[in-house]
Amino acid sequence: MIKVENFCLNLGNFKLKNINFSVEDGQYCILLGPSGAGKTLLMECIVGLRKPDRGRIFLNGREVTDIPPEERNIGYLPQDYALFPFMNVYRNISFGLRLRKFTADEIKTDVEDVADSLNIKHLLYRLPSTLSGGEKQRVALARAFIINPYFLLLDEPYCSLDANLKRNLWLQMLRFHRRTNKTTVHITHDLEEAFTLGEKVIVLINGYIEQSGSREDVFYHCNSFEVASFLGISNILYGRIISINRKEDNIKIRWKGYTITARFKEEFAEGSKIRFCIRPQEIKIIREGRPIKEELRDNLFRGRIVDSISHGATYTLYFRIFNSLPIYGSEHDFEIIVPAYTYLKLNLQRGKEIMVGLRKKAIQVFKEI
Amino acid sequence: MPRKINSNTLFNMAIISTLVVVILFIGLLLFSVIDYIHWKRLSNVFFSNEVLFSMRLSLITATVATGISMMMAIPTAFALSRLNFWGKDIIDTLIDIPVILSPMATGAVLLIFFNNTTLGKFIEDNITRFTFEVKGIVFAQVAVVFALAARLLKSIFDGIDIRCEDVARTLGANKIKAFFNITLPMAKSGIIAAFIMTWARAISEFGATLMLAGASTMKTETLPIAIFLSFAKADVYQAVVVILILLGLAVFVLLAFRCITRRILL
Repeated sequence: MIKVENFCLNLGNFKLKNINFSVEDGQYCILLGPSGAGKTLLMECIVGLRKPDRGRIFLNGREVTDIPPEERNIGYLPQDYALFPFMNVYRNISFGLRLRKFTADEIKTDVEDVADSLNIKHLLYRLPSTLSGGEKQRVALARAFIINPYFLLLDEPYCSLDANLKRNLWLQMLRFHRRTNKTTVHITHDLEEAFTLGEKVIVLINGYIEQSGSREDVFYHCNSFEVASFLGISNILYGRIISINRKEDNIKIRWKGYTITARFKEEFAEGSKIRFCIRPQEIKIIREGRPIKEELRDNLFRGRIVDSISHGATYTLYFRIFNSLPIYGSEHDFEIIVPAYTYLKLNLQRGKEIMVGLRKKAIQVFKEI
Repeated sequence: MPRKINSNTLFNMAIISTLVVVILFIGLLLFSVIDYIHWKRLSNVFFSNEVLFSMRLSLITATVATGISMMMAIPTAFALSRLNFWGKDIIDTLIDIPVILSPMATGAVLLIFFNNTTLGKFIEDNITRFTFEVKGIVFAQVAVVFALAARLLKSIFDGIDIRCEDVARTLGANKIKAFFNITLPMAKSGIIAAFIMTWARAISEFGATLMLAGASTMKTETLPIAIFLSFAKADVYQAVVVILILLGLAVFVLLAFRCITRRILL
């Protein structure tokens, strides 16, 4: 188990502030945040390459805050993989075993085993400079894994790879983790990567942990506006609470002259200014003649598709409510993401008039600062 | 109608003509030395005791001085490259002083130290003599070339990916093992190139050597001192032979340096 307590690091122009979190045994934890959030700094402190100004780090219950990296038994994979350029793949992978004075036979068996499991056996006698990005990543992972570390710490391991290869490697990593059950902390700023791999997600923004929890928790129940906007929720709207109905567990929001119903949250009072948002995937297109689901009935809008963009498997529709006033020059009120199949079946082209419903439970409300 | 010369052509003509002037100048200098040679007399002077002595002395002192400088410069450069400490900039600047200071001034400072200070006199009287001795040549060369070695090595260590050392640490290497197993092999070509450049600077060192070790025939007579003594006794022919030896060494060193640095860049 990895545990970080009251951790602070001050670099003058950047601070990691009061970081507290833990990663359970065997868990795959994603440290998610935008560039410059302090993710790598935090990882370097856990690895032992930096010392925090305050706070403590525990690995398997043992405090390691002042222990050098060579005594922490952590498999570390830095962002650029840092393969030793003058050693071939075999010597790179076996470096940790040679330091531990394994015999040549033991080293050979272990290297071949790990190379086999990561499908890099054919690369063993090549130099790192001749490998592709994906091959380098697997070699670096093999080198980190072969020393049988308690934990694996991966710093943006897929950031420089192309999209297809990345997806392939995510799947390999999922299988590898399932097989080894190694406690892993993985840094990324890629949302898709985070939600593909992470059992637990910690969101670090500007040196502060904004939220941590299961991937579903973080994705569907953002607890701050910063998290919501980092997670790419594009429908961010400003309004005012006009009524609170505790009995029915909902609040009414006035927005651009319309009323929107959302779930009740304890911290709000009538009249307070708020920001609220809804994922583009949570806005549903109502088909003519079909019964409207209960969860959508409170928030129905008629309007027109003013633009649409294809992403291959999905389409983004830009929807404008009839007669709505443009705000900040924006021509649309909502972004809606639909599968390509729906787009084609309903013929959702530019100019088409449609009715949409906002899922009450999917509307996330935050205080306006 | 006369063709108008555009500014790009003019620019090319300007840089090429400068290059031609520089090449002609170097060629003229080389030719003036080579033209001076009477090839029949060459071997007599080349194999004279004095020239052979100065060649041997120069090779030995430059090699020893370079070895000492490298042994001191490697840890110094690594410390300056990897550590952050108060006063680092001041130390960095101090190390550069011998590069800027005239070697004659460096030699004078050394002479004053050994002749006029308590510590210097103590060393001279009780440990070993440096003034007007062969050891003084090595000391003077080290004083002049150490800064160059440290500067070259620091840029080499700066260029090495610190992440490799970090990963080695996480794999179980302490700082010493990471240095010897990762950093030094990665810096190997750079260190060899730095050794060659430092050695070349040491073998041509004159000013500091003259001040500290003096110019005694067949005692502290390195190749540059031999040129100086040959002119002093109006033996221009011997001076030219020694110049040719230094020229040959310079060409060899520059070619070797170029080969090694090209390998680093590739």
